Amino acid sequence: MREFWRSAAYRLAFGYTALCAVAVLTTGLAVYYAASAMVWRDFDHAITEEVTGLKREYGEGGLPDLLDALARHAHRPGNAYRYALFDRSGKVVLGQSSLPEASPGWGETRLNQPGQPLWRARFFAERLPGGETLVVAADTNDLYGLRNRLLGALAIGFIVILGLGAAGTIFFGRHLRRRLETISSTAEAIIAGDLQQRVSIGPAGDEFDRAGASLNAMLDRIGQLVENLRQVSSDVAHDLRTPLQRLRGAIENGLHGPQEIPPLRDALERALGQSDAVLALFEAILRISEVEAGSARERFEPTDITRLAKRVCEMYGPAIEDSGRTLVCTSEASVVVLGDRELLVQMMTNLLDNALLHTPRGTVVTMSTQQDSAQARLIVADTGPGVPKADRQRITRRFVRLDRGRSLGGHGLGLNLVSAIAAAHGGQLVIEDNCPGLRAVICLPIAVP
Amino acid sequence: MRILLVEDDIQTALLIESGLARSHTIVHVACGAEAIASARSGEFDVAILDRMLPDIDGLAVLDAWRSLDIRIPVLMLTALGTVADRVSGLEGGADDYLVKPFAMDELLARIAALNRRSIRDDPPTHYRVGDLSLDLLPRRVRRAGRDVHLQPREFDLLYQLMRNPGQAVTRKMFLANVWGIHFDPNTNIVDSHISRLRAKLRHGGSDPIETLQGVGYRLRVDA
Repeated sequence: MREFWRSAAYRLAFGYTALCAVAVLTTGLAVYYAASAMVWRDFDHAITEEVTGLKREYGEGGLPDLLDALARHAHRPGNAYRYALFDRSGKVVLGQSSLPEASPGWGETRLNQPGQPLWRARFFAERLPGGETLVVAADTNDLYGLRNRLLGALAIGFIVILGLGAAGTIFFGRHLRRRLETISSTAEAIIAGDLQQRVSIGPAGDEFDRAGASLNAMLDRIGQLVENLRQVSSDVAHDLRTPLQRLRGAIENGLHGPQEIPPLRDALERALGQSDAVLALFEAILRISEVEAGSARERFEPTDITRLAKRVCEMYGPAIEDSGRTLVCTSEASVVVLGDRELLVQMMTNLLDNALLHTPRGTVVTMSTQQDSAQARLIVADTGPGVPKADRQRITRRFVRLDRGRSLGGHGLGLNLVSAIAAAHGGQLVIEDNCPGLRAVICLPIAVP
Repeated sequence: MRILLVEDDIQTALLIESGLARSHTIVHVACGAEAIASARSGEFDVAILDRMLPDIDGLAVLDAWRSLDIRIPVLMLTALGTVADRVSGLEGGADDYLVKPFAMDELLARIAALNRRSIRDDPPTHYRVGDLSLDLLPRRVRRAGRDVHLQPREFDLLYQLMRNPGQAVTRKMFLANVWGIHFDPNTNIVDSHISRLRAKLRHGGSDPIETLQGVGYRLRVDA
């Protein structure tokens, strides 16, 4: 029982049932009292009428007329009244069913004759001008019967309500518990380690389904963060080994090689270079995980990517020119997105770095921005060798480099960071064929002013 | 220059001390309470403050200094490298922010720049180094009395060099102060801009800018 009471679902349903029962009881009693008051009033009114009629006969013709009228009334078909008349000294002049002589006014009497049902009556006694007392009585058995039937109906109604309420409580409580248990069982499964478990969503779209959907969205987000963390750990575990191995090798060579200043310097310089490579890789991994964790969203503000693109072009122009390539920036109209300025700049510089790293001299690199009603686009296209169709999706993943010998440098995280930044801004990176060359398109949602 | 170094890791502190000892006097303390007490003497030109201290947060030390009206320029060192951390550090009142691990040359250059900033509360709008002069209002550069026409970014680069004459200005400092970016692009954009600036400044004369291999650039004081 205590278990039962601890359930909010049952408490709620039970409380509601109790409230309904009280309401039904109150309504029933009110109806009962109103109805019986009305019935009694009609009853009394009828007796008074009868007395008034008889008094009129008495007034017109004295006692003989009254007796005449009484006899006539007593034999009326369906007569509901009984009469008694007492003279001045209290002697019975005419009497039915031994009605008592009574002082004027209302009274009640009952007669318990053996072998007959209990007879109950209500009467009115009237003192006549001649000193006689007239008593008119009517049977109240029917009235009590009506009252009992009313009370009985009320009791039955109340019991039915209680029964329905109890059944409803159990049903409602069970239903609530069952719906809530799908949520808690999911939570327990996740606690036990099954991170893929999700709350099942019914077709109704009710509060439980909506709560379940929010929980699922939260679990998805947590899942992403956990995955992000797992990815970082595995990146650190696997991909830092290679540069660390090179660093160690450089130090070892220095220690075991000829102990003269120039080769030692050489080894130290190589070691320094390798440690910088380790740090750059490390920083890139952390940067990606920072972006993927989504903390930058707090700093988002309306940012014109056309202006940023122009600044980045100005920043890169000389370096690209020095490398024997051409950079063209073709953007005029401002395109405003909600974003982090520094991340958006980093996204652009990464794309330009990539275009520089993977194209021959003479390549034309074009950076442009576009906007239609639905989205903003930043496009970095080059006329270089491009990427085979099969590899276009792959190159945005972590540590994917198409040059097998890895002679070109770069840590294989550039496009992955671009992709992560685009995703953090609610957009995505699409790699397309520029015919010839490669075309990286960043689609971003436009800022709603 | 007298430098207060607040760093709890002994190895790091020793490395920094040996790196700076040639040109500066270092006083090293290892916790926040000592740091607050030491700075009250007012004898330091620059403080290097580690953000993660054993007793109190580096930001709290900075807060304490500022509320005690100790207006020492502060370079904050930190192992926390996210954008949010950098922003909170600078908003907390640090004058510069350097993420570990860093190159010693970077630290030296930043300290030199910080000290110069502290000497002048009200930064001048006119600079003169040798036969070079630079005006911020209007943006104008002259060499040996002749106007030199620079692109806006070239002007900004020269401004960074002229603020720190004879001192190294690193690539990271250029990236942060000229373009406002705090990451290292793979492409060496600073060098290309500097080479154009150089060509315009030289214009038949001597080269006023000196390349410091692997570090950055320096404006010759005798240019």
